[in-house]
Amino acid sequence: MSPLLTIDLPAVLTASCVAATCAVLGTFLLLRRASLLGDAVSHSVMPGLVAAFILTQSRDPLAMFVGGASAGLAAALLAEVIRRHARTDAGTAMGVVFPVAFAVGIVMLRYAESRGPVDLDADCVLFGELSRIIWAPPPDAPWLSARGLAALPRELVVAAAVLVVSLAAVGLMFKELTLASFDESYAHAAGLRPGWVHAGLIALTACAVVSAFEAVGSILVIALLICPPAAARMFTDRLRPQIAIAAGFGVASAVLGYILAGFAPGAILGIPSLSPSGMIAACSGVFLAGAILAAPGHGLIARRLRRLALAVRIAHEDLLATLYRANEGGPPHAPTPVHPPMIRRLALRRAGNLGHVTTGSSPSLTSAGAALAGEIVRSHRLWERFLVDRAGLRPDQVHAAALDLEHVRRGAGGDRLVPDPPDDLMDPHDRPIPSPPQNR
Amino acid sequence: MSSLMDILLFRAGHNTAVVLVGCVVLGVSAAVVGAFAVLRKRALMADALGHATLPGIALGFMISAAFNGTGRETAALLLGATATGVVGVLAVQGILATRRLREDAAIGAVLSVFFGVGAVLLSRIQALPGADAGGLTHLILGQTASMRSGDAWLIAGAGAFAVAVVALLYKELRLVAFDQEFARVQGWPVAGLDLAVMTLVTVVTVVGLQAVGLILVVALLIIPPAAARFWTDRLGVMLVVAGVIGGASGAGGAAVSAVSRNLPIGALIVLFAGAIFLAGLLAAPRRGIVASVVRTARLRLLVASHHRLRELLGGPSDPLGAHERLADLALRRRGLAASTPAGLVLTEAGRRRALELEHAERWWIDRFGTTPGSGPPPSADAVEHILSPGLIDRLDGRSRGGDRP
Repeated sequence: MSPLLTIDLPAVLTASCVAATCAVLGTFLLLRRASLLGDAVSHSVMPGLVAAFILTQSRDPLAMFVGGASAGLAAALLAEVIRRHARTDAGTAMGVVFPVAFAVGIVMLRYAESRGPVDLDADCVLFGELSRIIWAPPPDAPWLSARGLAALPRELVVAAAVLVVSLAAVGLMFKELTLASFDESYAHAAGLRPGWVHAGLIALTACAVVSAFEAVGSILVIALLICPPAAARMFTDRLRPQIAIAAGFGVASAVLGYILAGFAPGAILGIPSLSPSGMIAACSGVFLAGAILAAPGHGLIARRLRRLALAVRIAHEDLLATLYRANEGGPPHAPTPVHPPMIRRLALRRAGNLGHVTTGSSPSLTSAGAALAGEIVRSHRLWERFLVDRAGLRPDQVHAAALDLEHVRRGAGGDRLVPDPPDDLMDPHDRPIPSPPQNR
Repeated sequence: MSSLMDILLFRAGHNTAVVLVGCVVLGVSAAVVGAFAVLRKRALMADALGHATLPGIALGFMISAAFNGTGRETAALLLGATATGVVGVLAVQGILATRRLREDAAIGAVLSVFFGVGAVLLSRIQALPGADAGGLTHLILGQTASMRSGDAWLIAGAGAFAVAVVALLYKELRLVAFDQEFARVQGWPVAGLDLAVMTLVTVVTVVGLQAVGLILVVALLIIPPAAARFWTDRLGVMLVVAGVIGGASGAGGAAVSAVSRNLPIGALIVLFAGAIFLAGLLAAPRRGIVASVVRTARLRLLVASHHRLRELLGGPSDPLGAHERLADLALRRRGLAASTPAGLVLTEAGRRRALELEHAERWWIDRFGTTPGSGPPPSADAVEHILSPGLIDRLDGRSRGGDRP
């Protein structure tokens, strides 16, 4: 019998189902800024699980499911009651509820242990036991026969069922969920009962958490609820793509984490396999970190680069304007723009590449450069005119401000500052304002 | 086996007494430090911090095991815990720097991912030949059976340090907790004070690991201040009440776990704190659920009896039609109505009150008008219950004082 089919396939499938469910639900939790609700619910399912176990004396999935989900829901409800009555923020309310629920669970567990051997321990609840999920059809039955499929591990069946139910519920209620997540007041005004939508979301989350606890444990499921949607959030501003990307990250974390924990240590390092659930959580964290750093648009690196490009453009424009003023002659203008040496070098190179200045030991403006420099200086002096005439500043106050504002030239910005400027308009320091570009 | 009383009076042996002192000091100091974290709405940062200590504990174990084989040096474990705990808090700040992900997501991501890394490292340790990893799982759920007097001294010293720092910085911390902007404008180093609070939270969390474990340690920081908040609106009083609640929870948990060795002390301490919180939630004088239910019922009764007064005066019958018999009872008890064979009739005082109510309603309608043909605004019916004659006089007086709005 192939160990790949017996052990690894059901484990990976279960983890993937759980990850996909969590990613879909977690996306809405993230948008509602209720990500910690998953945290609270997952800590709180513990007493429900133990109670179900004590009552049925077995790890019957259905009983566990009912117990865990109702405990999670009760905890979420209690947190809401506390938030209203204690007038605390939601974080504090959850911070009160979930440790207490968890503590109740631990004490109940010890109580159950004291009455006899228990097939459930805190480690299993915390870390999950993917290795328990085994698909072992009878030897004479083929894998895909009725008897083979009947031997599918119940954890996998439950996880798949929760995935299907969650997808169906989200699909059916997509409009309501979206509206309630983005604009609760409007949803209310439109008669949508956002409170009930929210409660339904929590109920689904509780189901997902319970179905996940066998696979990844009650704490690591938080990683699957939060990290993939958060990573997806870095990539897109649209809801549907975000759900899809989140599900992709979730399933990738599950598969990659399982491989890294199960096969890589033995094959590469020669050590026994590691905790797969921990590795899945770690992978989701690595994906999130990667998304935060490298996502196009919103990632930290992309933002840094955009700011660098802006700094270089400003330094470039300042360079052209400085050369223009030097050609003009006259008394020096203070203050002069200051840029770090590296930005200055990049700006000089940019100006050279665009053909705005001649390359050489002492750069001078080309005709293209002079045209652009004229536009910049025109913008500068129109801003100065505006600041003196309209904003009531003194002429000696406006140069520094205009140094920043001159770079704002989008559209006809400069020309709207002073409507229909005469050709011989002077700036507040009695310098001529360059005429607008001819081709406009 | 010692009784609860013996334990609480330090008559149950040296080790039990040590554990008791350690837990009480921990409870008090965590509550005092946690109060500022709760007021700054940073409470769950401590949760991220607590969970983020797991990889550090495992690393500390592996490093010290590499040097002398046992790997159970408390110092190594706690140093490792501090290191990754701080990294976890910095990671939360880093995620917040994106401005695209909110604090809840940042905290949840950090706590679960760090815990996952810790789980991976733990699974490696459990497979190490000869390593005794038993002490590590105690740090997850907490266990004081292994607490020695050195550990208790560490907790006591760190706790006293934390309380002393809070006492020294009390004025500044209070300012930042309630009006951050004002503090900034006044030139106080707000970021530095926040850092001080986070440092104290870190200290308390790390020394608290041994007693209550890294999952539950956040409860010591959050629950006592949140429970104290029910009883007072003054920070000084709140700190004292929180400290008492924290200390009492620590003592209760330590005592019960000494009686029944099987129950983990961390969970017991949290349960004690939770029970005290629940008592406040239900029974606190102004913010408790009972008080608020009573308040609502009183208001309903007041409204119902007002409606009944107007009805007895010859007005329309109660639009709500509720609580009629209770309202009759209340009117009789307050001498506003009396039973006669012909039914309930108004007394002189009742008549006066009913006329006042009618006047209040008419005053409101005069003031704020009706749209023609649509009758009095619904607000008139609601506002008569709170518009006392004195209030009407004052409102009239002020509006006569000047025409300007």
